[in-house]
Amino acid sequence: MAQTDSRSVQRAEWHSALAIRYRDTATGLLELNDPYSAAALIYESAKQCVNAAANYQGQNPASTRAKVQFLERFAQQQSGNLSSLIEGWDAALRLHIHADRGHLSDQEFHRAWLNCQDFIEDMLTIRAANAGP
Amino acid sequence: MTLLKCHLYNPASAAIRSIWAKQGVVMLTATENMVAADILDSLDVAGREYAAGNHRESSRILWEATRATFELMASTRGMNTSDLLEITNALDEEHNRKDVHRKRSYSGKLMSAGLLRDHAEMGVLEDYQMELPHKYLPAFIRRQMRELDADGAD
Repeated sequence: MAQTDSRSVQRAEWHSALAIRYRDTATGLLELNDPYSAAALIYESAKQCVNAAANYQGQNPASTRAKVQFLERFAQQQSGNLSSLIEGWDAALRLHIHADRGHLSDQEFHRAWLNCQDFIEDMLTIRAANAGP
Repeated sequence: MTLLKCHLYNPASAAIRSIWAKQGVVMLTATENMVAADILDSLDVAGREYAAGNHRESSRILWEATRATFELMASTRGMNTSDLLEITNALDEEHNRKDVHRKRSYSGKLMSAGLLRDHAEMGVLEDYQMELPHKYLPAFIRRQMRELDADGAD
């Protein structure tokens, strides 16, 4: 694991704040009956969650491929959360595809939305716990 | 592989199987054992297709295998539906009574399988985006088959 310095912590805080802002805006867009924009933005929120977790460990994955690789390693560190984090990320990815293709049924969209919200919440909670007092 | 498409629900035995399932008794019928064997075989095929770089085909096979697994699990519980969202909701509820920490365990697996279905139908994923579902879904399916005590699941 790379060493965490103050710059990494600042980055983590920045990305966490972005994740929350994107999630809240996405929720607002959904309430405004714009599911495609909401789906696009909730995916961005999920990505920022991964960034924040990585930053806190002194890493800064730039490409989405690097984020996914980090996520798998990170999920393996979280006892009991491996599957749920990966499935939550898959939900975010499905929503990202939906923003472009509009292929999910209402029920599928709802399910993916819930799974993605869980992912964001879990990632932010884990990161906050790691951050300590 | 054709058995993966067969309809598993048998209304005559559903009520009895539902009662058995609540008591933790799960017994596969001969037909269900054949379906389970087909599912397990399909995992090997998916692995070979993936290794050969045929990722849309491996994604399609893994999606079908996951779908068939959930239908089999529903059948053994006497559930009167083939709606995958309904099945995974019910399985999550059943699971949550034992483990409060996993809110959407089965519906999450359906999500990963659905992502592969998206790729099989539309070719929308980069290689690295399908690595994790290809790694974890077969393990999940094999675990379910062991829990069902299906022939060849060991």
